[in-house]
Amino acid sequence: MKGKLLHRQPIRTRLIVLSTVVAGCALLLASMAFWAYESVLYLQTLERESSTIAQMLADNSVAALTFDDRAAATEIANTLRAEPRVIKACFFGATGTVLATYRKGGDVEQCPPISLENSTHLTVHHLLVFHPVTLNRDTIGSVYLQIDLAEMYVMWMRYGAISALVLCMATLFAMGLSSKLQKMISDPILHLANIASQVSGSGHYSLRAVKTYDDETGQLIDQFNDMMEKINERDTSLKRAQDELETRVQERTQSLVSEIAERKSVEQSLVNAKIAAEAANTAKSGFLANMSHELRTPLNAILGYGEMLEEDARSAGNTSAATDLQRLLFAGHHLLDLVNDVLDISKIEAGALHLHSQRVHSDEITKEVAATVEPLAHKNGNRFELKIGASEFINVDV
Amino acid sequence: MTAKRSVALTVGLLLLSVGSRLAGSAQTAIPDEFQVRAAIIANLARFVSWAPPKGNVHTPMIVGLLGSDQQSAALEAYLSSHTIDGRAFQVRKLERSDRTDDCQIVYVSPSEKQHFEEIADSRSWNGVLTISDDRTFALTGGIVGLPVVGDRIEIQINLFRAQQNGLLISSRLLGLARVIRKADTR
Repeated sequence: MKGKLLHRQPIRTRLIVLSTVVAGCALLLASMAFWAYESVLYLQTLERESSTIAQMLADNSVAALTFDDRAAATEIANTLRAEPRVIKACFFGATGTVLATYRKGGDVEQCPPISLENSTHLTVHHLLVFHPVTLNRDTIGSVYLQIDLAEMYVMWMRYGAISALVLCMATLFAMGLSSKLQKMISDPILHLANIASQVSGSGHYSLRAVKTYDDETGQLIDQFNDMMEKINERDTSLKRAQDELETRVQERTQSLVSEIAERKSVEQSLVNAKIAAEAANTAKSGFLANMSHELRTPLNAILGYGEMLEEDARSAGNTSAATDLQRLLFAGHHLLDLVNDVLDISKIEAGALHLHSQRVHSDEITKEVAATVEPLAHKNGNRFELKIGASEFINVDV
Repeated sequence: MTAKRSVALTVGLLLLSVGSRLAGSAQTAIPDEFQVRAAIIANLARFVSWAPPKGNVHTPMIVGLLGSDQQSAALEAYLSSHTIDGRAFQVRKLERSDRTDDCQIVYVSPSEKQHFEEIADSRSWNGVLTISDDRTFALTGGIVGLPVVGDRIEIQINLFRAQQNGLLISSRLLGLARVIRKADTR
């Protein structure tokens, strides 16, 4: 979170924070090292001094412990008043009996179990010292001292307060100094950034940054200027190319427009031709329909009178005339069929032909077709044969 | 200041220190004044240097008993069962006419005090630590007196006599004792 916050800060702030944090951390580490050294030294000294005190007490109390003299032992113990760090002392006889105790401030507490070893033990609040009392290499008792570590903690507090003060002052000093010195680094960069933003804002690629130092920022400014030079050149050539391109596009557009107009006129003439053709076709169909319709009227009259004449000839027994008349009728019917066919064609073209589907037996239609085709075949000297398989009903237009 | 000059030995304390040592013997388990005094006499030897040294650390320390009473019996019993710094005691009962200069310590019974005063100056006591429980012993020719004062046994030391007899007494002991620096007050 803090890193992100720092990311948004300007480079001046970041440089100041960097210098300050580095200086602060270095000082903090140094303070901690010094504090640790002081603490170890203090504890070593305290241990040594405590051992000396215990040794002196042990030497002084030899006779008192030998003769179990409580009063003398108490008097020796009370000399500890001169040493405020000792808050408790116990004098033990050889069997562990407590002969005398000393307690800074009065109240006597319980003494710990006797230890005849020469030992020091460090707890959170106290340094505990056991020192044996010997007479002619014979251990006759022990002295126990409880040394208060409050002094050390007071020293720690004082040291902490001074360290904090020095740390604050040094950090402020580092901040002030770095806010002056950071300009060496930030000024060229800020100048460069300013020029770059001007360029991007205005588009004037002719702007140039001024080089102040011969370091990496100087190199950066040189390269920036170099880059600007190239961009400027490219920009110019690009503009030129763009102008040319525009002209070419305009020319091309012009030619395309004229081409399109040409095509449109051709299209229009084609459409006109098509309309004309369609009109001609319709006229032709109309003509055919009218013509065939008009042709049928006289043909019906010819056929009607032909049939009457044929009946008359047959009844008069004039077979040769009847046969001729029959041929006349046959040709007339054939002509009627042709006229109907023409009418059908004109109907098909006019889209007016309607098919009337009807169910007929295939034999019937085959016989009709055979009757039509056989004379034609015979006429040209051909032989006509009809072979019919299984006959059935089919749907046809009559 | 009297506290410094007297040895605080209460019966209750000795129940722990001396009484436990005597518990094994045939004597009574409750330490009395005589047993306390016997322990003091034995321990006194640890604070006294003989010049020139008498015997060595391997030979027993010779303790002469002049006169016979309850205290000398208690002392004899105590010394026979104790050593000081690895050195044993050898108790020798003395007659009035016996030599005393080969003893390191001579205990004088109160009954023999009169006789001791007579012979104190007439014979050599060089290198002999004389002890008695008489109240005036240290003032009348003896070196160490162990009288009962109040509820304690007081150690009285006549430093003048000790030097005369060629004895060096540790300052640690002198710190506890009532020291007499002058010659006899007879």
